[in-house]
Amino acid sequence: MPKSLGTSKTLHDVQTMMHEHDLDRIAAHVSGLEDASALIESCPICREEFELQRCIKAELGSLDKPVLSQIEQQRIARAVRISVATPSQARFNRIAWGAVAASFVVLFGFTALLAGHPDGDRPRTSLESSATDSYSPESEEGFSTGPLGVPSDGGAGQGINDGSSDVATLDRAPSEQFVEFDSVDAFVSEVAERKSDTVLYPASGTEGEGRCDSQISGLILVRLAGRIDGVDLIGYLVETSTGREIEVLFADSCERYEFTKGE
Amino acid sequence: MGALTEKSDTELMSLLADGDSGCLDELMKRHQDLVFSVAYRMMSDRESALDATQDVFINVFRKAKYFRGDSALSTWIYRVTMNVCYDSLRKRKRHPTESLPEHADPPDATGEDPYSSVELRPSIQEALDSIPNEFKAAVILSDIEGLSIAEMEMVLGVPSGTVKSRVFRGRRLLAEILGNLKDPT
Repeated sequence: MPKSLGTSKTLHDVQTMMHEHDLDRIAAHVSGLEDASALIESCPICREEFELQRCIKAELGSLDKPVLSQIEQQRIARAVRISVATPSQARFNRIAWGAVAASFVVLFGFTALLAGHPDGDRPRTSLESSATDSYSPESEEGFSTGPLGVPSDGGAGQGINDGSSDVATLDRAPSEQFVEFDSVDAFVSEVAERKSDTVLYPASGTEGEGRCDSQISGLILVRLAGRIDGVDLIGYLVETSTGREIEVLFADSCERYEFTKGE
Repeated sequence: MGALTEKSDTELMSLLADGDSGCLDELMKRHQDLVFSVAYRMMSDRESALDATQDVFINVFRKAKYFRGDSALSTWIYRVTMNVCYDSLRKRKRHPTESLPEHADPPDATGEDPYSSVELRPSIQEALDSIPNEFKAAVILSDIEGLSIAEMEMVLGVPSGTVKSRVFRGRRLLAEILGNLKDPT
């Protein structure tokens, strides 16, 4: 029996309290990184500290880990890809595209000038042509005009203009217009609501087929382009053998977007 | 791309250091949840955590040549993440902006909050936000991410004694704020 000091504390208690409480070690013990069991068992202060630390660790450990949504993942990946394009690459791209554009301008200018005199006359400049051309009814009948203002008048000129119109068609962005939505849920609802639309999109091989339609198996009833948080998606209402389903794809990669209700 | 998924982190980092930015997608797939989790707890709001995650992977690309492979890539990425978060928090301190706390968002009409599973418990997150960053980082790495002392030494760049002390003091401060200390001394 330890000798009493006349208070509620025994000599043993006092000796225990006087020892150096290695609180960092107790913290490490709580983390499971060190063994400080002897300290904790022998000293009420160390035990109290242990309980306190254990409690806080449990509180922190009970927090759920946040998870990135697919849209957030796409957004980050896109932003990173843009940022890591090295300056030299970007410069090369700018130079390359600039050269291509300049070549097209020169080529078009040259061919348009040639088109202006199919009989081999001296090429006319646009100033000359606008100043000297008399009124021609053809210009009002939808005949196109060359880039330098030289009217095209059939023959070679017509062919050239057809070509330029083809280029314009190729350069045009895909026809989908992306409508902004607050959430995937709202987007999916919109796709579902359009089931009564009369326009049906066959799943393959027709004019107007979307770039990602080949990823869809079944009869496409509705196709809707939407943008959520800067990410472009295409939603489909599809008739399959098991009924109607909604599919959502990333517009840029045509990969399937796995969505959950409430997203 | 199939081949990239079979490569180790170190091999991918080596390719990245040689300028093959295609590896970055694979590295992001593997480590973005880790980065976002730490950034979210450090920054305490989703938008800032997303920005930080983005910055981390930009830094991973730019600093890939400095990764020597002495430690696991995840440890190195933890360190990059901490540095990015410290920088952002410093900037935030210099240019404070009023941001709405996430738990004050209007309730979702559908009743299905997409982030309900990551409910920010205001008390513990607010407590974390009110302690100094070095203690906050220590308790996040230790008690949420479960890193060892050796890993934390590398991530925080301080000796093991300092790591232990920061974990202890961090928990103590949290206990004081959360009221776990009945009679703080």
